[in-house]
Formats: sequence, C-alpha cells, structure tokens
Amino acid sequence: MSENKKSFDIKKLFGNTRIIVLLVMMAFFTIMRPRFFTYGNFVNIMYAVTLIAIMICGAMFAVLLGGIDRTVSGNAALSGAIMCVLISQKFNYSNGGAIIAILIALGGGLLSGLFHGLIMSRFKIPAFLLTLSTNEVLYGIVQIITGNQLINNLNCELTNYIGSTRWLGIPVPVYVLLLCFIIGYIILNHTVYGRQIYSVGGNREASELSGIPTRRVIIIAYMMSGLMGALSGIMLSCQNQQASASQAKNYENNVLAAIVVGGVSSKGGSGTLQGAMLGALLIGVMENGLRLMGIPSIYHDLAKGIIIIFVLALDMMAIARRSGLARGIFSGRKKEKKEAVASE
Amino acid sequence: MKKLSNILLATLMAASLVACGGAANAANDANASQQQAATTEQTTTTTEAAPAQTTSGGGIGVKTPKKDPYSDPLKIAWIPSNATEANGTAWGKGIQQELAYWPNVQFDIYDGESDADKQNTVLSDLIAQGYDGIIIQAINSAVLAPTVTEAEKAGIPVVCINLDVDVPHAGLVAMTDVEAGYAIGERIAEALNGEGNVVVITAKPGASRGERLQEGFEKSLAEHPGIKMLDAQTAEWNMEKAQVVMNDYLTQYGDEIDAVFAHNDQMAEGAGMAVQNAGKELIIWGANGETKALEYIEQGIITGTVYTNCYNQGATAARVLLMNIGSTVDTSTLTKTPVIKMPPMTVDASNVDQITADMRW
Repeated sequence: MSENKKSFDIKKLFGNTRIIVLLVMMAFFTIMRPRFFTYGNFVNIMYAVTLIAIMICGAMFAVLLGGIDRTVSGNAALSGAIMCVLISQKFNYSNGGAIIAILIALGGGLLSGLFHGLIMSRFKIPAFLLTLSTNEVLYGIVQIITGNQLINNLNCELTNYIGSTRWLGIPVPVYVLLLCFIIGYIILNHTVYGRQIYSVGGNREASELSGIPTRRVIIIAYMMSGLMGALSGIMLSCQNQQASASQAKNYENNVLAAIVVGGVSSKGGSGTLQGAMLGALLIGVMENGLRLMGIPSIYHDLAKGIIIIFVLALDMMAIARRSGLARGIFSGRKKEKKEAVASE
Repeated sequence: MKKLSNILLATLMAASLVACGGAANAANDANASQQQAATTEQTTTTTEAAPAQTTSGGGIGVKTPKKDPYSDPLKIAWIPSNATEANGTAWGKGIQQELAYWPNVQFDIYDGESDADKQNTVLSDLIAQGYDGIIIQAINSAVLAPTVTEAEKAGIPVVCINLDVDVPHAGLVAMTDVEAGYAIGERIAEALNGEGNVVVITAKPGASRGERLQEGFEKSLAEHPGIKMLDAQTAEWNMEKAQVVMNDYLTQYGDEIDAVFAHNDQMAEGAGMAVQNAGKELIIWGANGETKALEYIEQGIITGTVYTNCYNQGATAARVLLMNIGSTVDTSTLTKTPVIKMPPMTVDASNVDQITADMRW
C-alpha cells in the first residue's frame, strides 16, 4: 500500500476514474459558471462536506473491516446533545465548562464505539442490522437527554468561536477535518494497526491464525468511528449554536455513499481514506455546482444518484478489465468477438 | 336514549336515500350514505346542531356523545410529524398543559418520525385501541385522508394542527401561511423601497406549508415588479444546510442579493450565519418564531420572522377536540373542515421584546 504511494505517478493519478470524473465535472461547472472556480467557492465546498467528511474518517475503519457503522449520525446527535445540555444547564456557558463538556461528549462517542466493538468482535451479528437498531437507540437516548426540546447554546464563547470563526478565510471545522484526515491517514498507512485492519478486513480467520489480535482491532475500529461521529456532532452543534434531537439524522447515508463512491470495498480489506474523501468531495462539488447553476432542488437527488451509479460503473469496468474477466457490455465483448472470428 | 338515537339514525338514512335518488346500495353503509347526502346539501357551520335540527335532506348528522369530556375517562393522542422538532414539541406542550387541568384525560404522544406511512399506522392502531380523540399534524394530506375518515366514522374526532388532510373532519387549527408569506414579501418590499433582488431558501420539496408560504410571498412580489426573485433552492428545513445554500448564493450572486426569505426559522438562522461570516448585512426573514430566531433578531443576525404562539395553538386544538367529543354533531358528516387560524405576529427588532419568555418555544 504505502510503497505504491511513494512513487508518485501522473499516469496512475489519471488512471483513477474518480479524479477524472471530478476534473470533468469541475471543468463543466467552471465553463457554465465562472464563479465556480474561485478560492471562496472551494472553501464553501470544503465547508459543506466537512461534517460528512469527519464522519468518514471514522466510519471508514468499520467499512474496511467489512462492516458498516450506521451509528455515526446517532453518535453525532448524542455528543451534540450532551455538549449543549451540559454547557447550558450545568456549566452556565463558561469556557472551561465547555472544554469539559466537549471531552465528556467525545467520551460518549468512544463509549458507544466500545459497545459496538465489543459486540461486533464477540458475536457474529451483521453490522448493518446491529448499527441500524442501535442508531435508533442512540436517537432515543438523545430524545430523553434533550427532553425533545431544542437546546440552545447561544452564549458560550468557545463553541461560538469554533462554529463561526475563520482562520485565513477558512472555517475552523475545516481545520478539524484536516487534522482528522491526517490522523486517519497516518493510522491506516503508517502503523502496524493500519496494516492489521486491512488484513482483518480482508480475511479475519487467516489474520487470527497469523496471530493478529482481531478482537482488539475491531474494538478500536468502532471506537474510532464513535469518536469521529461525536466530533462531527460537536462541530455541528457549534455551527448551529444548538442541539436538536433529530440532529444529523440520515447523515449516515451520505457518509456511506461517499465511502462507496470513493472506491472502498464494502466487503472490507481494500480502499483508501483519500479515496473516500474524494468521494465526499465529488458529491460536494456536484451539489455546489448544481446550485450555482440554479437548477431546482428537485433534480439534485436524481443527479446525485446518477453520478454515484456512473462512478461505480466506471469502477466495475476498470476492475473487470484489470482482472481479465470479460463481462458486461463494456469490457471485452468486442475482444471476445474478435477472438471468435479469429478462431474461425 | 339509545332508542332515540337509533330512530334518528334511521330517519337520517332514509332522508339520505331520498336525497341520493337511486343509490340503493347505500343502505348497506349508513355512514357512506350520510356523507353522500351531506355533500349534496347545504354547507355546514361549526356550531353545534341540536338533535331537533336533523331535518330531512341530510346536512350534518347527529350523534349521542359517548362521554362527557370533562368527567368521563378519556384517551387523547397527539401525532406530530416529528416529535423532535421545535414546533412539534411546543404544540405537544400546549396540548398537555391544557389537558392537565382535566384529571380524567389520559394524554399520549406518538412520534410520526417524518413519515406519513408511520403516521398512518399509528392512526390505525389508535382507532383499534379505542381512543376518544386524536390531534395530528398530517405530513401528507392525501396519504392520511382515508384513515382520518375511518377514525371519524368510528366516532373519533380528529383535529389537525397546521398540516391538514384532504377530507373533512372535526377541525383544523393552523398558523397563517399564505398570509404570512405575503406579509414577509410586503415587509421586504417596504425595506427595499420596491427595488431589489431576493433569494429564497425553500422547505422540503412537496411540503404544503412551504408551498403556501411561497404562494403568499410570490403574490406580494407580483405587486412589486421592482423586486426580483433570483433563485429558490431547498435546505430541507435544516439550519446547517441553509448555511451551505446561502454560501452558494453569495458565491453566485454576490452583491446582487438584497434580501433572503427562508421558509422556516432554522433556515433563516443558517442564512444569517452565512451572511455574517461573509461580512455582509442583508435583510433576512424566517417564519414560525422559535426561541433562537427571536434571539437572533435581538442580536441582529436575522431581520424578522412571523411568530405564532405554539403553546396557545396546541391548547386551542385540545379545546376544539374536547368540544367535539362532547358535542352532538357527528363530525364525520361535515362537508367542510372548520378552521381556526392563529393570529400571526410579524416580529422584528422593534417589537421582539413583546414576546416574553413564557411565550417563547
């Protein structure tokens, strides 16, 4: 993995279908709306994908294990609720209290991740089913914590600073995203744990036989996911100056879509974090471009779905071509025919 | 008493048969024929009809109240479209506070989870469980219509809050929407002296409240040809998405934008944040009047909103429901849903202090 990355290769870079799709899309939007290609707009796109992308930095670990973590949104709602309730009702909007509240909120995410990790490593419950139901549980807990009210957090300096300050014209949450990405990238590519996670995701039994502590690998992966989900929720509550009991609902679908568009195998064991980020960016650029062009919102979902299918189809084509399997209408049928003609 | 009501019912049935001419099969379904009869006849009023008023030719049907709403044990349910949203919670609180006075009333909340099918299932369950009255914020006016009719036929009055269904039923207690959209349009036109550009951040596509706010808003714009609507995109009722949409508006239109109209306060707040971060000042209007929006008006982040007292609205719905449970009007025979409109209050920095803490939701 890491060796390939060291040899930077333009040909390989452009061999990545996603980058080509992204560049084509950007070129198209730039021609249609020159204002697309401005520094300010790129900052806006980054800002728009930040919450999703922070979640991806965690959910990626679960997907690499061949699992899936739908609780990222529930964790985000939980952490936002914990933070806002503590700040507004216990700490009286003080900055010191806010730091403690943020830490407790992150702890909530870690705990939720630990719980999922323990179950996933012990029992063979499909991750999809488990996290689908526990996500409901998490939202239930959030409803109890917030009493189904909006918890306003307008007066806390620290959270307002995080939510609405810009450094060098870039919002603070984007820096948090960069930090998360760097941490995730280093863990996945430059640590023993990173190699173990790809190994366990590829083949759990073989990894176990070769002495990898698979249970620990799984537990840590889900804890990462819980932590990043919680962090994303804290950013959201800082931006909104508020926690609601339905906050971040359904974000997990966008997270999973971006991961899949990013070329991460849902069976586990392959895919990169930068690929998943590219997936998020692709969706972000498309939504931004469509809005700049003034295309009515009712068409956005349609366009999003088509782009996702298109990218996946390109992917399948590339895989089929590489593996030499002749399948589908794109890859190899012509060759087959030629061969058939030749053999005649 | 029972005998009397049977006789009344029979009279009514006979009357409706006459009214409907050759509808012979109607005899199988007394309720259906009552409704048919009702549709052919005069419009109804919301006042209670005394049993003696059941004249031939249909009209409103009568019933014998099964219970006295102020002393017999009652079960009442509230089904908001989403129990976790600010107004859903506020209405629930308003209903609860009103009903808390009557110890005979049991009050339950069932979350619709933003899903019309879910609401439908809940509603069917409540009919089966024999609830005495239901208050609902119907996500989809068509999907829920048959089940509401079913409830009414089972003698369970249904009162809608804000989002109505397509069939007549016991009552609707609504915020103003077309009027509110119009009022906001007028305020923006006034502030801009009739010249300028406005962008709209819309509700989830297909939401009736969003469409009606927009209808009123566009009606006002039509009267001010100098004001141009540059764009309208959805942020799905959502604050953080509105911030993204507003950022994109600012990229695309830059200084051309003079004013923003968002279909709810959450989205107006998001737009306000985006505008503030961009170092600009624009006229930004929302609608509903939730607490944070009022504080944002005080802080100057947004310009104004149309406030409705949701506690009061919930309490009103509860009162209408209790009245209908105890009344002798058979609400399943109404031809038009009686409507109560909550008086709106257009709020900006000049009068925001009139909304005191206990009125904020």
